[in-house]
Amino acid sequence: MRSLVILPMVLFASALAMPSLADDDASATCAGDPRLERAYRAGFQGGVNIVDRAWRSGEGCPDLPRIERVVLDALARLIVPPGASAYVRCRAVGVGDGADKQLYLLRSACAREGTD
Amino acid sequence: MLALFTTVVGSTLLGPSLSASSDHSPSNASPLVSSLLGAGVAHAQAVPVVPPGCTGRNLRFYQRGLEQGRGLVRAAWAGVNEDFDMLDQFQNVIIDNIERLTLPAGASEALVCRYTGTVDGVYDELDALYEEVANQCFMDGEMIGAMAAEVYCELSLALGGLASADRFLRGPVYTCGVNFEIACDSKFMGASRSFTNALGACLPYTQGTFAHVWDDTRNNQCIYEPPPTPATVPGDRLWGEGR
Repeated sequence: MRSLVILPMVLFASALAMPSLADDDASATCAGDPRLERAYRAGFQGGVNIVDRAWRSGEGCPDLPRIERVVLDALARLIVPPGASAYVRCRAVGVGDGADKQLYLLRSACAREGTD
Repeated sequence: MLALFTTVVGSTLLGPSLSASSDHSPSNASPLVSSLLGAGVAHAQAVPVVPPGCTGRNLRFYQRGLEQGRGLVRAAWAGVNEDFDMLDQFQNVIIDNIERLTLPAGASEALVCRYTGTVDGVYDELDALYEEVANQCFMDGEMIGAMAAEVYCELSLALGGLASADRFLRGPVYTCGVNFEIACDSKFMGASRSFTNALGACLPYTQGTFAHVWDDTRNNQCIYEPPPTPATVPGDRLWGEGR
């Protein structure tokens, strides 16, 4: 099986669909199979949590662009190993989507804060 | 589980045959039943051992039962969509059914061999299934642990360390979950402690003031099934609170 570099694509696709991305919705490739949906959700929460930790390490909204760049770079370099199971792939997709969702929320919140 | 195998074979399969005699002690059992008493022990081995009493024509009945038992488990496993998280419940249901399997009084030797083969086949396939699930979940855990360590270290090195955040509460896990979490936890710890990139080594971010952040990250990234928590960004965090 060829190497799968899915996170960048996932992040790109998720960014486009972000407004309609519900927290508990598995992405299309992982939907339909209960275990893969659980894998996606676990990854999603992990992605949210790791962004949360990166965010809290910074200096708030002025620091968001730097944190976002670092997070996206790190996730873009992440390669799902060849031969990974569907469970691993869905969990990895979830991490990317969860991180992207949390960054989106932070961007939105900081944008609102900036206009208040 | 081996004790259970023996119990099942002894109490259900051989029970009715034994009860046909005046005494339940093995010494008073028929030669065939006596030779079958060790049948359950076969589960300790990779391939079930044909009971000595099931030779000649009866061997075919035993082998037919063996295939039937294996087929029953495979078909039933497919019926639950081969969901690894259902394995423990699935095994309990199968074992519960097998434990209620009984032979009619005065069963022929051929029937006893067929029944014994069926039970052996069921347990043989359950063992194989258990190993398959445990191995796959362990490998999945290792991959996730390695990826999580890489992300943790990349972020820690680029940002000068991560901060505290929510720690997920780990709930009960079954066969797949425990294999996943053990493999993921150990891989995360090992991979992060040895990680290096152009910015330096990750080791300092696994100890000292970062020890709890590192441990929380391991806990959260390697949890098999986190509790449902919606992603939110409280307003009071917008300007940061440092680590």
